Parts: sequence; structure tokens; C-alpha cells
Amino acid sequence: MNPLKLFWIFFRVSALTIGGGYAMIPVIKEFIVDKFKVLEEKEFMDVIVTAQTVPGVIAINTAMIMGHKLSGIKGAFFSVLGCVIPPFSIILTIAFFFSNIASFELFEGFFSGARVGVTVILAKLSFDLVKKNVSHPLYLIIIAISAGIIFFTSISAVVVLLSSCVVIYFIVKGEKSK
Amino acid sequence: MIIFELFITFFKIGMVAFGGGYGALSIIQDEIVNVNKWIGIEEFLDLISISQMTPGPIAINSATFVGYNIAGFWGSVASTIGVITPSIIWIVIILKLLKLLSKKIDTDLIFKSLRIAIIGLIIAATLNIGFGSIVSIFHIVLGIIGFIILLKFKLSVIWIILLSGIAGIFGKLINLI
Repeated sequence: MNPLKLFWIFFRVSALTIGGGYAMIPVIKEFIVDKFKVLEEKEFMDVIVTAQTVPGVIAINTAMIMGHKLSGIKGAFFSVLGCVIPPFSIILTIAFFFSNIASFELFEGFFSGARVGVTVILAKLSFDLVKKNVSHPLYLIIIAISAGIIFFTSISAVVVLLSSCVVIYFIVKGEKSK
Repeated sequence: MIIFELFITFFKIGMVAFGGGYGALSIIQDEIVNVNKWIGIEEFLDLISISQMTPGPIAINSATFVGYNIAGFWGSVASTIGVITPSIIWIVIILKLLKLLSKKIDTDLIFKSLRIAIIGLIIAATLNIGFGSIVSIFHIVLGIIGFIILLKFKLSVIWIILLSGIAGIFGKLINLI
């Protein structure tokens, strides 16, 4: 894939997704899996999970692995650049004009509505992923418990991800050996 | 030199920011408010609400904002580069590690488990953003309409975000939110 195309994809993803790393997933998926069909959904999700397992800015981690997978070092560079420029320029603009943004109310209205849009697409993604991946009722219980722990407690999401992964690993393995 | 200090501080933040975004928030607060005293706690809370309203990862938003306030444009450049550099280091390490591991163990099985496990995180993110953003009847109605449109018309997710944003502007104009 052309690195400049990757730049433009991640530029739009980053400029539009309010809510950070997770909110980006359905938007990137639409480009990479549905529109350009350069990765299968499974491969796409492998990139997403790899990005979560190491520290760093998740959005940048995702852009880097995806870019690298699709067009090497150049792809990684341009994807990260596309990801950084929108928030950088938006925050710089706000920091510069902070006290006298006349249209701040409308700006606030836009993002208040856009966050609902992000919730909607994330909810849809959650449903789709459950439908596709949950082949055992126990998985659903583990998923529900880990979502609950992350939402209601301050336990780190990575800790929850890795420990639920261990439990699921043994179930998957058990199923396989049957 | 302040620019170098900004770079190092945000490099440290990126290096240990496990789980991204809100997980990193307490580390960011500790480094820039408590340790370096670059901004006060009120300013920090303002920064969080700006970050929640605007697109982009919260770590990059804070780096740019704090960098600019402390040392102008180049300060924001140094902090932003500082916060993303660890990502680059970590990703290089994990990709190399995966390559090595895939020869020895069945990484397919691990990835299969991770793909299932991550659904819990995505649902938690949905709940987090949902409960933070759906705060009035207007938002509920907007959410329901958005969901129906997404299911029925297969509209691009970008359009869903843009259209709900525009609906938000109208909501603000006629004082519904």
C-alpha cells in the first residue's frame, strides 16, 4: 500500500476520533478491512491487540504496526505522521487562542454530538466482534467480567487484558485437544 | 535546557504509559503537575476536558498543550516527539520478539485468545465514552438515530461521527444541550 495513502487514512482517523485509541478501531477497520481490503479482519485484530500489549500511545502503536505491516518503514513513518498532525495542530490552535474562541460553544456542540457518534460505532463494533469471535459461552462471561472490572475499578486495562487472555488461552487449548 | 527537559519528561511518560489514554493520565499528572510543576491542577483539569472534547490521543494532546505553554512552538514539538518516541522503541521490540517467538511457540493460539480478550476492553471503552457523552435526552435520541442509520444504511463510520457532530451543533444552537 502506498505510504501516502496510509498517511491520509491515519490523518482522517486521527482528526475524527474523539476518545483516543479504542475509538479509532472501527474507523481504521472500515478503511483497511472494508474499503481497501488490504487485511483480513483477523489480521487486522492481530495488529490491534499487539498495539495494546506494549506501553506507549495506543493510537501511535497501532499506526506504526499497521503502517509497517502494509508498507514497511516508510509506511510506519507516514502512518505515525498522519496520526500526530491533527491533534498537534488542533491543540496548538486551542492553546494559542484559548481565551478568545468566540465560536467555542459551537465547537463544544460539535464534539458533544460527535462523541455520541463514536459511542454508536464502538457499540456496533462490540456487537460484531462478539458475534464473530465468541464460540464458547465461557468467553462471553470472561468478556463481561473484564469489561466490568475495567469500567468500575481502576485496575489497569493491560492487566485485565493479559489475565483474561491467559484464562481464554486454556479454554481454547482445551477445546482444541478435545 | 527547558526543551530538552520537556522531551525527557514526555519520553518517560510514553515509556511507562501502559494501557494508553486514561491509564496514562495519572502518570502525566504526576510528572507535569506534581514533579515539574509546569502547570497547576486547575489548568491540568482544563487540559483533560479539552482533550476529551477534541480528537486525538490524550497523551499527544497533553504533550502539545504543556509543551506550548512552557516553551512555545518548539516546546510543543519537543514534548510531542518525546511522547511518541517510546512507542517506536516498544513496537520495534515487540515485532522482533514476536518474530522470535513464532518459531518456538504457537503464537496463533495466543493471538486467538487475545482477539477474544480484547473485546472486553472495547466494551469497557464503549461504556466509558458512552456514559461520558450521553448526558441528556437529546444525546439519547441522537444515539438511537445514529445506531439505526448505521445498521440500516451501512453509512461510513466517518459520516456517522460527522453527522452526529453537526447534530450536536444544532442541539447547542437551539439549547437542547
